[in-house]
Amino acid sequence: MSIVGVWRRYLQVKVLSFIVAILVIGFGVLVVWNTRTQSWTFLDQYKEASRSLADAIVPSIESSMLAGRPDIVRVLSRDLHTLKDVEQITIFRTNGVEAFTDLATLEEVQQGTSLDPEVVAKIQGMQARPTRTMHHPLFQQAVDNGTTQELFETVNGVPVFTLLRPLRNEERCQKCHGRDHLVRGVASISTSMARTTAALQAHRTQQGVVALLTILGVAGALSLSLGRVVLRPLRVLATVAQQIGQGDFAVRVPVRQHDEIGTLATAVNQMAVHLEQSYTELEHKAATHEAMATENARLYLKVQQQAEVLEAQVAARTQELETANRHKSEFLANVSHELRTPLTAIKGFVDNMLDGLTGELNPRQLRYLTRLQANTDRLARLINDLLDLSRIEAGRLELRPTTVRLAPLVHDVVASLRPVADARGLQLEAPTTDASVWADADKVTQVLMNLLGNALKFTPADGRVTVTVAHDGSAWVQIAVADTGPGIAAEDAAHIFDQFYQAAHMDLATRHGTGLGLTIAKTLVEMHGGRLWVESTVGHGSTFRFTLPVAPPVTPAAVPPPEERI
Amino acid sequence: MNFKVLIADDEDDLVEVLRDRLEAYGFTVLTASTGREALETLRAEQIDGVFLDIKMPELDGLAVVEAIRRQDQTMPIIMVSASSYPHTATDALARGANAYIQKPFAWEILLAAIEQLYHITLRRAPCHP
Repeated sequence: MSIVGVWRRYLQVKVLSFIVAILVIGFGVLVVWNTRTQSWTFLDQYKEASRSLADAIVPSIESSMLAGRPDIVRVLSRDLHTLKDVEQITIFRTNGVEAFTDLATLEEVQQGTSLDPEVVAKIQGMQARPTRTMHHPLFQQAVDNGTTQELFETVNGVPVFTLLRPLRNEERCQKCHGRDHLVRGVASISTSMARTTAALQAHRTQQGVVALLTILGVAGALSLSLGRVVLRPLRVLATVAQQIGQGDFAVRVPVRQHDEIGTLATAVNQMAVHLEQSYTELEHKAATHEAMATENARLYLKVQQQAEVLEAQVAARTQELETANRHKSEFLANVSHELRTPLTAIKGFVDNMLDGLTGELNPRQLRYLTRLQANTDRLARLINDLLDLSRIEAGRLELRPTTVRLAPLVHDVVASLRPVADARGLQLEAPTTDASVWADADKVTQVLMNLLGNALKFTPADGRVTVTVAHDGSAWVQIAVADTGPGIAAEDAAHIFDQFYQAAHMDLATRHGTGLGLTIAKTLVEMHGGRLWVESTVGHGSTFRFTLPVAPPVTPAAVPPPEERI
Repeated sequence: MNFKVLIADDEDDLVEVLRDRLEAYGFTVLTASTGREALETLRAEQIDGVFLDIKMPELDGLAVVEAIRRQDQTMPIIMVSASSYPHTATDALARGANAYIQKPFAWEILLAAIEQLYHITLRRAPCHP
């Protein structure tokens, strides 16, 4: 793992790093400040020492001068070399050239004196080197102003402090040097700061080591206590949270503290409890749902099986019904044939007798035969109606629609029924309006015959029956048959289109129809897409109305198939 | 007006009703009660027209029409049936019958057909001049 990785991974490393950084900065500032302060103190002490030295040296030089022994200056400077730190003592003339170079020889200096070999080496070094000159601006200032100047230099890597002390022509000097008070030279006393610098360096190193040890100690202690108080509980928390995350809801964090970490541990424990409860509930629900789904699937299969059984039953029943219906139709056809055959014979014989084939009839015979004829006709109509109805119900009655002009059709029907109307003493009025409908002409005739026949039957003598045709420009033409008969009560009006209602509920004296005519008429109109209804008030007659689709204005060949229109 | 016609019907009553009426108008009437018998009579006699029932034993009326039309295209044939099937009329006319009359019939219709086929006029009540 890289250092960055470790840094990212461990909180302790981060905290430790911060502590160390803060301590390093703090101690660093402290050490630097302390060192600076100490160095200033050292420097001041050093300067003071240098000044004291100069103060001690200058009177000696002056006294040597006064004694007329400039050579002693040399000796003095030699002796002064024995002082610690003193690097060099030189007397410069005001022009910056070293003085007293022509006075003493080494041999002279060595006479009668036992010198330290180190000092001898120094003096020999002085003798060997060329005459020094001084051109520093501070030197010139010392000459011009007569004030002592201090100069810091670095010579051969060693810091050197030089004190430039002007030498005045005092009154006691004027005996040899003229009557003025001018500065006649400058004493340069250089002292090495090497010892001081080394001491400072040692001091700094010592302080640095102490600081480093302190930093390490404090950081280690802090880190240990942080680890015990914060990081270890956190690690335990992390482990437990991980276990909870993996689904082990039974684990708990031991709560040993009452601080924020303790609160966190308690919260994690509560969370685990809640999670365990939620999970248990969810498991329970899932189990319930699964059971329900299984049950649903089972029920669905059962329902499906039952539906299949039912479908099969329905299909079989439909088949049976279709077969039964076909048998019924065939049966009806056979029955009607067998009914018609004797009826034809009866009717034929009656007609023959009425037409005089058997000779003259007395009035009673004539009346009986006429009744026989009427009942035969009625029986024939009933058979026809029954057949029509069975065809309609079997869906086998087909319409052959064409464009039908209503005026001629109504005229023909009215003409055929006029004898009946005349015989009953009724007015029968035909329409003057015309309209074309898209219909099966035979079926329209059948409907009209039925409605007019009923009207003529039920309207008392001197009454009136009117047929009207109306077209208001819509898609429907309305045909109405109105009579001045007794009217139909509301409770009957609701049922007169039911099969055999008329036969069962009407007054026997007025019964002539089969009880199927209105049912058939209504069905025929509805097969055309129209409606058939009655409007009536008892005592004020009845009006039967029905609608038929208006004929298309173009040739029949160009119109849509009639099935779509009906 | 002395036409000899054949009435073929398995119902004796109908044969009698029709025969009485036609004889009243002066027709000579022969009768048959099956289709086969009708064809035999037609082969044996000189006949001016046939009144045919459809539902008859041995050979039905439609088969008889077909048989006649194979020999004779002009003989007037009037078919009279109590059949309830709407297609019966078209079946009869398609095989060559000149008219189809539904039983029970109204005399007016039957007489109108006869008048048209034989180019004659018949009184409506033959015995009440």
